[in-house]
Amino acid sequence: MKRVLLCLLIATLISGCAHVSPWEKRGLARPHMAFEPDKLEARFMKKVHQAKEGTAGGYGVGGGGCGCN
Amino acid sequence: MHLVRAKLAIIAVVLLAVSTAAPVFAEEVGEGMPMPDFALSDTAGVEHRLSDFKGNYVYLDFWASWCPPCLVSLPWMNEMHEKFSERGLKIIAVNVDEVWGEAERVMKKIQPLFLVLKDGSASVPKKIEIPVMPTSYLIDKEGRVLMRHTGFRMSDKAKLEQKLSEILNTPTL
Repeated sequence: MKRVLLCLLIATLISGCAHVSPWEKRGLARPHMAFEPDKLEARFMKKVHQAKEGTAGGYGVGGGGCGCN
Repeated sequence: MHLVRAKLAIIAVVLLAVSTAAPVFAEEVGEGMPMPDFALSDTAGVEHRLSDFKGNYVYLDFWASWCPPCLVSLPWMNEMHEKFSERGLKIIAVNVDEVWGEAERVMKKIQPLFLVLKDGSASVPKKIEIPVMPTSYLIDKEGRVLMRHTGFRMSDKAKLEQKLSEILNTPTL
């Protein structure tokens, strides 16, 4: 019974996921929706990270939240 | 016990699939397919139908003020209008901004020379299932899609201009 309830709870939580069409991404395209709000600081941190690790990349894909390009 | 576990697993998978599935109501319009007709109003409130432009090549673009590549493509479309309008190219830019004032601000800056249509409810993108913003379609004189272009980068300008030039220079049989 507990497992059934757990399954239902997970399903309910997952149902919060929604498909966002390209023309609906006005909110997602806003600068404050970016993973890195301060691009300059993010570049600086990446540089430090690259120097320490001796490796670069792995920071996701190009493009913005609007799904363009 | 194994049977119960299997049942639970099946229920979980089905619920997961149902809850995350994207609704599919429209058909994605691609190259070689006819572009469905639609009617939208321009900035002055005058209604235009896509079928009114049959007999012309149409460059149909979907844009929004919040989409940075769209803002790169708009001045380029002004250039293309100046270059190719006399050869029969009609450029139609469909704006999908929910708040028209945001689109107006962009238009004040760019001063589009081509036709801009308003589609705040995104009825046409929903109908033809555009994959990204911006998406543009080059439509032939019979209303068939010759080319679909997704996104817009600076490097696309020359390629697209070349394509437009080739198509508009081809004599009609």
